Amino acid sequence: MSLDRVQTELLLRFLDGAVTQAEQRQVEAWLQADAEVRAFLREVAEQAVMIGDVERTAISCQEALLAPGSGGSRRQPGVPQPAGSWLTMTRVWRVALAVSISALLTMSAFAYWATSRPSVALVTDVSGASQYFSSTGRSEHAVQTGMTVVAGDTLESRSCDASITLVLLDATTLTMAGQTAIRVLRPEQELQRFDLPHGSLWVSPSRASGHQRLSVRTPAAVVQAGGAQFSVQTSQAESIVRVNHGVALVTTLRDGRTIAVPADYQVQVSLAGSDACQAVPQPHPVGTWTCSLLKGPEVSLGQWLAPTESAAMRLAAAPLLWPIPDRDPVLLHVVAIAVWKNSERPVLLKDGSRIQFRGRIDRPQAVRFGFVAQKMRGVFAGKFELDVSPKELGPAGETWQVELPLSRFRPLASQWATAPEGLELTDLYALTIAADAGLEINHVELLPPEAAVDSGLGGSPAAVHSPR
Amino acid sequence: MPLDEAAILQLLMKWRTRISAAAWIVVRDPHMAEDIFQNVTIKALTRAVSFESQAALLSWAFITARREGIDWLKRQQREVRGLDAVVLDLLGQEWQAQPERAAGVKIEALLECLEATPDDARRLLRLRYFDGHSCAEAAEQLGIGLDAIYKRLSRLHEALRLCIENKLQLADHQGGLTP
Repeated sequence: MSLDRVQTELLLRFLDGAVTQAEQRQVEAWLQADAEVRAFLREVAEQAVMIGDVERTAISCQEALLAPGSGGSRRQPGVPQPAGSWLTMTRVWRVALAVSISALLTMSAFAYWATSRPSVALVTDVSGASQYFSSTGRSEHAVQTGMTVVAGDTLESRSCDASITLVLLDATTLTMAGQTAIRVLRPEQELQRFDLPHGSLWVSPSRASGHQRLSVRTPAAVVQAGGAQFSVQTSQAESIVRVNHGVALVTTLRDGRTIAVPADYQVQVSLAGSDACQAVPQPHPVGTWTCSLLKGPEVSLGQWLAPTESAAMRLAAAPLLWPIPDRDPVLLHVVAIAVWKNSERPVLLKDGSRIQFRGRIDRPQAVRFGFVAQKMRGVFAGKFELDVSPKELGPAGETWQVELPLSRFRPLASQWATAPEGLELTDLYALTIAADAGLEINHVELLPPEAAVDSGLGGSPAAVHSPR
Repeated sequence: MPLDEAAILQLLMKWRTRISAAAWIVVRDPHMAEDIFQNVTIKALTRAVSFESQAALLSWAFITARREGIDWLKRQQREVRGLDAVVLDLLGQEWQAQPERAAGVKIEALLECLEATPDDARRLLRLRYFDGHSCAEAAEQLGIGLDAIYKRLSRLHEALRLCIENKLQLADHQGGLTP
């Protein structure tokens, strides 16, 4: 640009509203005649908008850090469908089931659905501890595969490694992660509505056309979409909506603004603060993550213990009753941490990455370590677990540290991802089964492949203990 | 074939900075400019008439952003010395004539440039373009003269322009702003 300083300063004074009428005419004349002057004005305007964006984002991050109950350190309406006849709905329902786990649909289940009040969804997969509260006030011990869900029902996954999958009439799949509650609301104007008071939900449309519009209401926002693939992660004060395909409309409950979020963008909505939310590109993933074990919302399950000289942060396992079909439930003692609440960026599991746990147990007992993952910018991808023997952990009562390569973890269900490499880490947990071994966790970290420490054990077990 | 909703959103998000900037030139308020962009987006999605091409959508978006800005000023009864419609048309046409990058790429470049900018300069930019202070108010808060503010802003905008251009060129060669 070849503008002289007098011209640029006068333009800035014009934008500041501090020019005389004669100066205004001068600016107008320059702008009409000189493309360079217009280029400068366009540049200033773009910079002003972007500076506003940058500052807004910085403030949102600070508020998210400070807001109690927030996520700690850290996301179109489709074409309305005509009201379907019973026959039409039945046909659609069959399509839905054909693209889901069709084996789970028995004739009896279908008959049950066909003779009851209008069903909204079919439960096609349940894993881990869960609870079902019916619209009639009836409470079941656990959500069951094959059961249908009607308006007013509430489903809850009660442990961090639990998951529940639902298929809607248009074959859209809803996957609830652990520690998630969802309530089915009565449809309005052909909009299928759900309440998500806490937890994580993945919405994945079928490939068939004619998607039903659905909305997900969290404590901070309402998400509406038709045919979009998106995820919602929410606490009581903050929600993150990430769109991976299609478009979602996010309306903030704080000020009623609606934000259109296209694919590969996300929006973070918080009840705290006063600044406007906006859709931003989904951040690049990181290959490392350290949990500071702050006393915050990233801890999903556990009990805080008083610090000692050797361990400033001590999170003890909390009891959790684990249902098993046709058997008595098993009592677990679990420490669970929500990684997504503790990282501004998605945490990528790479080939060769290791997960490091530091902790202790009072009595010699095997510890089960596990994590939950989702596809990068995608849907729930499964859970992976590994049992470590008391011998590998070292003497009871002493602090140990294990570095567990991803290759040692096994997938829990065949229908999900078979290997964790390339997935996004969302939750981590450690637990003991049946007896309380006094498990406590002091530190958790995802180590990148190049930063992994040689265990000195020949590479095979890759679990080391280092008494302190 | 008309643009579908996803294509409309993708295009508007890509051009978000420029459309918001077109609104900012009218209202001189970044928060209002952002609101106007959101209104333009919602209107584009709920509008009865379809867009047959990207050019048609962009042309409509720039004009609508400007009109929304003018309407807002009228509602607020604000006295802003606006630009002649001919100049606003020229600005809109020139914005549309030049290829645009994804908004996030430019903002990431700006962020890197701002990180290398002295604190007092960042504070000035914030006071002026985020807090919405006039240059006179910024001068008072920073304890410097008004003429010095204009001079500093002039230098800052030029330095940021060069820095962003360099970052974007570098990104073009390396395939991304960050490894």
